[in-house]
Amino acid sequence: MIDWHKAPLVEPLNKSELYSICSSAIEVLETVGVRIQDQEMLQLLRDAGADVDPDEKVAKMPEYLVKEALMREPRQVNMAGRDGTHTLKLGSGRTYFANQDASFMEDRKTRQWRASTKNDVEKFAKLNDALENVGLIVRPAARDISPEIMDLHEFEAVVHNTTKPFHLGPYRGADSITDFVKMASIARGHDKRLSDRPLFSVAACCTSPLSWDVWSLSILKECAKHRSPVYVAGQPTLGGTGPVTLAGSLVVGTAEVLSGVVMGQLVNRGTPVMYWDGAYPVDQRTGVSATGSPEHALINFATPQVCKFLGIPSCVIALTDAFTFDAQAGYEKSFSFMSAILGRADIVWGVGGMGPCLSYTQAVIDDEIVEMNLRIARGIEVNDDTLALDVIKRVGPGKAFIGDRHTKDHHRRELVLPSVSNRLPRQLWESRGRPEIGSSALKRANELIETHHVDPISKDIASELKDFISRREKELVK
Amino acid sequence: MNARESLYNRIATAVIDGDSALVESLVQEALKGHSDPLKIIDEGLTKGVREVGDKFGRGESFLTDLVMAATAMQQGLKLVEPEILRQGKTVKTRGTVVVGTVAGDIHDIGKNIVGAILRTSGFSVHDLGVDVPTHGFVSAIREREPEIIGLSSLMTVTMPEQGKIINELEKQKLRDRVGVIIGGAATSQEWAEEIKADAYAPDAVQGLRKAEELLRRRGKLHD
Repeated sequence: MIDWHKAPLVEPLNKSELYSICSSAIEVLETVGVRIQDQEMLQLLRDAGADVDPDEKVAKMPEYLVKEALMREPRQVNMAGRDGTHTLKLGSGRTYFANQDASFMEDRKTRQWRASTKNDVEKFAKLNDALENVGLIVRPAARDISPEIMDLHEFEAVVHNTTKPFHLGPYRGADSITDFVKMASIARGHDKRLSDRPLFSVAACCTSPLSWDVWSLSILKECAKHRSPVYVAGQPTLGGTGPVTLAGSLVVGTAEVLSGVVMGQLVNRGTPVMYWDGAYPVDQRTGVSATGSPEHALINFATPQVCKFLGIPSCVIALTDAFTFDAQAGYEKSFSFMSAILGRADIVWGVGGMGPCLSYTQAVIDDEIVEMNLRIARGIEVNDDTLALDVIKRVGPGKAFIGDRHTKDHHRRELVLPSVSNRLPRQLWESRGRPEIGSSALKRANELIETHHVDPISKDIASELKDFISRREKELVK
Repeated sequence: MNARESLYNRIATAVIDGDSALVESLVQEALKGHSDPLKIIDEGLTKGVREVGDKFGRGESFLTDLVMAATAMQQGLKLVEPEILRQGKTVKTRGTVVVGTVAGDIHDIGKNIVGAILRTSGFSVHDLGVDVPTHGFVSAIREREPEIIGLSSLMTVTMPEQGKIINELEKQKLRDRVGVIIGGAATSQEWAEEIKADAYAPDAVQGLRKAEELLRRRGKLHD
């Protein structure tokens, strides 16, 4: 997390371009509309003034509907861990970091991808509880658990292993949300004082271009009922499910997220909807979404600009198209995180992620990439103390600053000390068996998983959670 | 080159350009001039689309070219097919494939790319669209009698639909008639084995290869 004071800010769009993009997005909602596979939602939209075609299931939303919804959209979305600490204030001008959803895990022993398990959910949550820059934990899927109750077990596995807020997968749609809300209340000992800082978030994805399926709408509606934080994902791939041009992609993505804001606020005013950007270019040779591309980095710069203009918290993602922690992963992650940070997104996802896989090793590396980029973002502090004229005069020509009080007092704040990047002198590096970043990071991941302490949940709460899950298990698993 | 041959060439070029409107008007012109409808296909539409397919294979053209060429060819075929039926002829294809995205899932594009690649390689493709219920696939198998069906699911929550469709095919004793290929971001080889699909296609080109392989195995691959 970083507090922004006078850090460098990169905004690729000027005011008039920004206005054109947002204005075009509203025009798309008015003239093209959005396909919505849910009769109840279509009725709500029609009652509110939308032009609904019941055969095509398309709702065209007038400008005033969008503007009314934006009035009801909270400017800031707050979350906190189970004990009320590790607060996230999304939309406050600070930038936070998170992991990503995954169904595979890079195995710590074999380094191969395999299906992720409940044990991975526990270990990955614990590791990210320890990683300083991670504010929101996103778990891998517990694929060794029966699908009907996978979501409940993931909740349990995460909540025991972190005091940070977390993000979940509502595989059963609205029913998952209902259960999560109950479990969150149990996890906090039914403490109502924390209700203004929800424990978990979920995502509801618009299927680009401009379509909503039944499952995603059920998630959006149920989140709205509980005013539970929900990311609305606009995912127009450049040249695939959206225009190939970056500006056009921003128009479609913004229209999609705004449609989510409209529907969320219609169900319940004050629903905390966040803009989740997934606009990646399609590689025209393979059809792959190029997540670690320079174009997506530009989207990372621009999305926070659009969100600040509209007053919606922004979420962007720093990913790589590499499948292991290699040089490509390193450079793609570096510029992706940098663009998100210098664009000042409210939250940046992707720590530990590579494609649909999470990696313990990459999580440690990403935490370090974030740390270094945050240093760049903090910029150069200029004042009498940092100009150090007195010190320069005191030391004089031909002498060293290494033994000066000024160095001793300032170096910890001024200079980042990476925990896994190589800074050994060459001979020492050789004599230690030429350690590469992967092995150093994996070693640190293993150490943290082994030694990091997470405040345990009280016995009463743990058993109430367990009872809840076994009761639901009996009802859900036939 | 005579006038007819030159017209077929212009049709092929229009397909390569992905110019559906031009393909339509050229095909209409050819039909008015009593060209052999099968030649319009072989020397015009299919020739164009195969050239794009070959270029794609060599990395000289791109997915957009492929999808646009396949669409242009489809537009032309729609005009030619009634004439073929009228003359009591049949179009030679390498096989028939039915594709669709399973119930609950409205993701379209991956399936469309698979369809385009299959078409550019000479397969006849029937696209059932998205959010297709189990009975939609079942009736398409009865009506179209494809050698292969392709089931797409991008989302984890809709993956089980692929298994349901396969179960239904077994129940209705249709399973032996078709090869089932699954694909989509959520799916995997392990999942294909679990639900007893015949093949898993991690991408569109693999979809084509798996389709060819399945037909070869059944001794039904036509070149």
